[in-house]
Amino acid sequence: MRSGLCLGAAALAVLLGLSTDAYAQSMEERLEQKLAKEFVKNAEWNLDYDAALAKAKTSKRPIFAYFTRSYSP
Amino acid sequence: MEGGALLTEEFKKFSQNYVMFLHVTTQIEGRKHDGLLGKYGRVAFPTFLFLDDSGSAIARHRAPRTADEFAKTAQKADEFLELKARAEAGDKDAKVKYTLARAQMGQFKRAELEAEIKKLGRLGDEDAKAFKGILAGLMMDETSATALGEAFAKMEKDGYVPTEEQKRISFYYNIWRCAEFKGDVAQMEHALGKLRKIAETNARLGNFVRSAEAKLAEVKGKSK
Repeated sequence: MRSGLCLGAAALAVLLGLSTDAYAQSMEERLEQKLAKEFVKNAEWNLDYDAALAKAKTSKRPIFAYFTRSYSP
Repeated sequence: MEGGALLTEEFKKFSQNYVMFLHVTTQIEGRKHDGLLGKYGRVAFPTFLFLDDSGSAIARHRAPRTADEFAKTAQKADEFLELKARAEAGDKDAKVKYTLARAQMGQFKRAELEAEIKKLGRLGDEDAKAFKGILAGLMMDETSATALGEAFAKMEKDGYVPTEEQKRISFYYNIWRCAEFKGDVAQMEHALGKLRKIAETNARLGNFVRSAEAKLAEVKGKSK
């Protein structure tokens, strides 16, 4: 009975581990899909916040920031 | 919109005058700046902001999303930067208008704004009225947040914590906001710890937790 419970817990842990990995992978894929959209090619978008700030300093131009999400449509 | 306005030639032309920054909130654990939108007090998607080179918001786009309308908001951003330059050069009137513009963009908490207003000295009636209007909004936020947060903190102390998850999130979020207004680091850490625990099984809370962690680090940095 006790060993059955231990096996059950291990299986659950593996399952949880897998689902966490799968979740992370799907989030990465969704980000890739977002960045592959046509609109991204229509302007010189900076994807890095710190790099955008640095560019604004050197170019003396304001930043136009578009905030969107990839995890949900 | 991503299949429309942002794909047009007009938008491409508009984009050449600005540093374009695309921020994607992903909910990927540990991703740098994933909760950045929260820093600007925003939660809705999409959000369009103009930022200066220190990352402060200088104009928010609320009009239809077309290149023409973006250009109109951009004009406001340019005016903001002009005011800033004049204020920094010592123009007293510009300093008043610049402080007002910063306040309208939500760059101050109530106490900070009150201190800034004091530094400005005697104000004209119109400016004084405008500042009072903004202060009233800040006071409302602060009063409702602190009243709720204090009541919930007392409930927790007495052993009453909601079992239903959504209510528990709201419960600790209000304790967090109250602590944030008061700059109470210990209570911020406590509420954040509880929310972090819920976020372990509720990915939707991840962004809030990340932006709250950044906020807590900022408050801790200021209090050193």
